[in-house]
Amino acid sequence: MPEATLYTVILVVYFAALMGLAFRFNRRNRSRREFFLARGDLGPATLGFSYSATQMSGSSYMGAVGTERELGYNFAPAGVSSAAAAWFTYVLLGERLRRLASRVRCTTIVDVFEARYRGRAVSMTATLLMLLAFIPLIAAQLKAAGNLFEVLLGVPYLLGLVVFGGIVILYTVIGGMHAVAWTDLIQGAIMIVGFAVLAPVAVSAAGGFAEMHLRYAEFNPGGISFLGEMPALWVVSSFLVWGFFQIGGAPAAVTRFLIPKDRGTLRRALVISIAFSSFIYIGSTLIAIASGVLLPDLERTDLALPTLVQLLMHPLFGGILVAAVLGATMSTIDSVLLLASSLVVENLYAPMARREVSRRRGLRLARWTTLAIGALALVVAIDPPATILFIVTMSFSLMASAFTFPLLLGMWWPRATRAGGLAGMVGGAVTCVAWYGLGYLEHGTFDNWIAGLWPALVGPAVSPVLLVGVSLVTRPPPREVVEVFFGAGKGEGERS
Amino acid sequence: MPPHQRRRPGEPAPSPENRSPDDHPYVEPDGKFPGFPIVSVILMAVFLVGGSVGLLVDWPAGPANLDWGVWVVLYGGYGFVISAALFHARTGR
Repeated sequence: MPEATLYTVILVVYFAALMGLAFRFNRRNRSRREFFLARGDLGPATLGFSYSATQMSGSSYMGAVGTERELGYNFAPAGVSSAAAAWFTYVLLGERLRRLASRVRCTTIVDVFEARYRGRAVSMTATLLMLLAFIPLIAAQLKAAGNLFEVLLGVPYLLGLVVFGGIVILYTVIGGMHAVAWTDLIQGAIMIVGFAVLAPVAVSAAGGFAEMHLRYAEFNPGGISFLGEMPALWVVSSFLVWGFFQIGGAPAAVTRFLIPKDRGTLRRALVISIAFSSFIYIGSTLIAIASGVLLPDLERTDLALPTLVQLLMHPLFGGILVAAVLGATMSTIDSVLLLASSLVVENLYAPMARREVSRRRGLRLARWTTLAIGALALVVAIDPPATILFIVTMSFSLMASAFTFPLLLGMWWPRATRAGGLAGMVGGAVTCVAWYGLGYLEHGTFDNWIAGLWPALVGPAVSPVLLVGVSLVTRPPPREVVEVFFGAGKGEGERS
Repeated sequence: MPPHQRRRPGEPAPSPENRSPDDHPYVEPDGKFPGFPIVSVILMAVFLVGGSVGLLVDWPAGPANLDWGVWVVLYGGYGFVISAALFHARTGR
């Protein structure tokens, strides 16, 4: 059987299984909040895999392997840092958000901002910033999948885009968070199997672990240690940014903390997330180094992973691994899509609706909104404008700058006020955009920044200063807010 | 109109007997909030500061044609993070 046909058969089976799962969970969704959160229904494995699979996108698999092939160990610290992201977010936010969700109604992370800072200005700013980032992000992921279909299966871009996008959007619309989390678990399991087989085969084909590094040093002398290919500040920045700042930079993943029903589930999910992420990032480093040795003349670095699969693996296994990469893309799209539609329904529509939305109508609304946003992203992905790439590049930095400290200090510092939260959010976002602008003026590109310092570091440096400074000169938050978030007798809240 | 439909984001959840399927199923046994995870925060600072400094050091050559920095900061870093996560999962600190 030709390779492309075999890949197609495997993908058809895979997609059919995902749709089956969505229909299985369809009945579990009785309201829009169950649709968006599957509250209390997810165990440690689904929660842990879902968090990490959402955090790691398909383009980060393809892109990370390709970039690491080019930059070698200069880029590897971003991997260990990304694995540590789960540790930072679970420990600093997880238990607090879980407990908060049992006290106040929170369906989205913006609800948390609204509950903490008590103001539409804060929640509207957060909602609009997230939506601005999410729709191009979904479109860019769809585009990456369409390109993969084109290269590996010979399917026209538009057909691949519509089939792939249609499947993701449909199973999200039908199954909601239940389907999203369970498909994330399945996709994560396939990724583990895929990397567990591919990494040793690739290292062995490159001459073994020690020999592979010797040969990689000939291919890229600057990439065999942390410094050499990129500026030192760039390497350190990437190490800092991809871990700690995912607290604010990955709201779709952080939303998972509103789901677990008890502390044990959350803690076991933390261990699963860390183990899963570490395994994948170590595997991707080894695969990237091996691809530099085995494919020294490859022109499109983002295709290093699928090309290596075609070179080394039996087509049957190659097809499964391609499904895993597509699965990684899917797990990001479905989570971001669900969060985007929950923002529209819960934070834009519901507060403005003149009457309360019934449960049945709310569920219908949630599904139609998810479908509409997915369709919009699909249309954008057909012929994405050049600016979309800039927005996607900027979206993580923008969210990390705007949300990391308003979220962290909002959870841990009773004195943080509405004005302080808004100042931290807006100030961080504006500084981040300004830093991109200054980098563009200096270098003529948005990918190179002044002194190599990432905007995702500069924005969050300004945000807490503004948040603390403005909070200290404004009136303390109302006492009931302090009691809900920190317990009775904490802080110096005022009666409202 | 049922009570669960009247609350807006941020309003306190109802008592257990008045909960709807929309509300979080977890009921806090003691109403206490988790304390600041001081040990984990110290470990995070060690990871971030130690890792950043470690990336800038000129490490001597180590096994398997890699320098010691890759072994200590990168592969050691994975071990550190996994151990720290296990520690937090077991102790909550």
